[in-house]
Amino acid sequence: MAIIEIIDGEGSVANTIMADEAFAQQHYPDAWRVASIQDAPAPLPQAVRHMTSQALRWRLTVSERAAIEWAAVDRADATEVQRKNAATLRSMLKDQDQAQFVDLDDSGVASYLLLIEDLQLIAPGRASEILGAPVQPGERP
Amino acid sequence: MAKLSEFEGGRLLPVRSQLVLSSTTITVIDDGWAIVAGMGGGAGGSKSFAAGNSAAWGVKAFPVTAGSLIGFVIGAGGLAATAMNTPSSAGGTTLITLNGSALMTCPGGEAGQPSTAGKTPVTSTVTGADYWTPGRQPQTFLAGAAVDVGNGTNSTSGAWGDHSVDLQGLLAGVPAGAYFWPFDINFHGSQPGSPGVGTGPGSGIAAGIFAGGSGHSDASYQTPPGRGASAGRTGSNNPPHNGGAGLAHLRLFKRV
Repeated sequence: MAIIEIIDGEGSVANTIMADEAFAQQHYPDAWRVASIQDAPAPLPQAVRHMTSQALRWRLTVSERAAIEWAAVDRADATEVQRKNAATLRSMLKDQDQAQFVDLDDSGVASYLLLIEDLQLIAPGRASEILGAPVQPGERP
Repeated sequence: MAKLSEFEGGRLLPVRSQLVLSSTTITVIDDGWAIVAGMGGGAGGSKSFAAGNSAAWGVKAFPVTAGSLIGFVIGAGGLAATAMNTPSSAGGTTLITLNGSALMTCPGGEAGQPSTAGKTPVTSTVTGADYWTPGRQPQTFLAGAAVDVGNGTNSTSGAWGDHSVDLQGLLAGVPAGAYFWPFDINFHGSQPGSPGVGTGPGSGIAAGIFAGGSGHSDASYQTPPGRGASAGRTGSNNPPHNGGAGLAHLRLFKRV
């Protein structure tokens, strides 16, 4: 079965149909062609990448977790930008605490990891390393 | 409601019931009646512009005699527009014939507009049907439109394909568990990819039959639409999908 274009007397496409070539030739003799674009294959099912909040936390080293906690503290003598970053971190950490599970394909999780990488709380490349690692059985909710 | 098999003094025996997914011709074996349902193809997807419409569908009952030829030309989904700034194309027309004469013509969904936020009016009409239902516009400007199998369509997210099934109690679409008589389809659930239920970008799950394809302007991989539904738009770095192909259904009743 293919996508067949039916050609009218003017050479224009009069219809596109689902048919095999024998059907097209029988019903539209020499007035058809196989369409240049066939259906794209359906995407393969992707594994759901859910893990517990604790599992995501444990993908960070102790020193990385400590750096994040330290950066999340609100300090009266910090600049406004630093205080806003700290508030953003606290908000994201709270979201994770309250989540029943973490979806590694969720854009919010990626935003969190990219933020702590931008703030140099983890080394460059760690965000993609943490996001890309396969979910282990012990990490699943 | 009376069943066709109860007409003619209850002397009509249902002998055949099948979906027709590709063009073919079926020879009737016995005198009796036929009921056909047909649906065109949904509009194809675009790389940069809004989605087009889903297809119309119709139903026709007619007497047949042994040896009658019922022809089905199944409309394809609109071809995907793979170049940037090219609007999606309309779905193909499904044509049902009896002994070579047109019986019912079901047009495909109208192509999308050459803009990111335009919607194409639904103007196509089914001809020859005993009754019919027009196609639908997409609910948003990203994802594809679902087929109206009763009571309209709905959306749960701008990027998820539109649904034929009412997932949120919005009184738009049919409830999960409903039976779609013309095509002999049960809307058995509300899980993504179930009949009449769309899916989200990157899910890897194709939309259920009659549900719209997902769509977004970002780099997400979009999911293809179900039969008769339209495909969503994609960003610049992903190919859009063709629209959902049309389909038909045939029931034959033998006079006994």
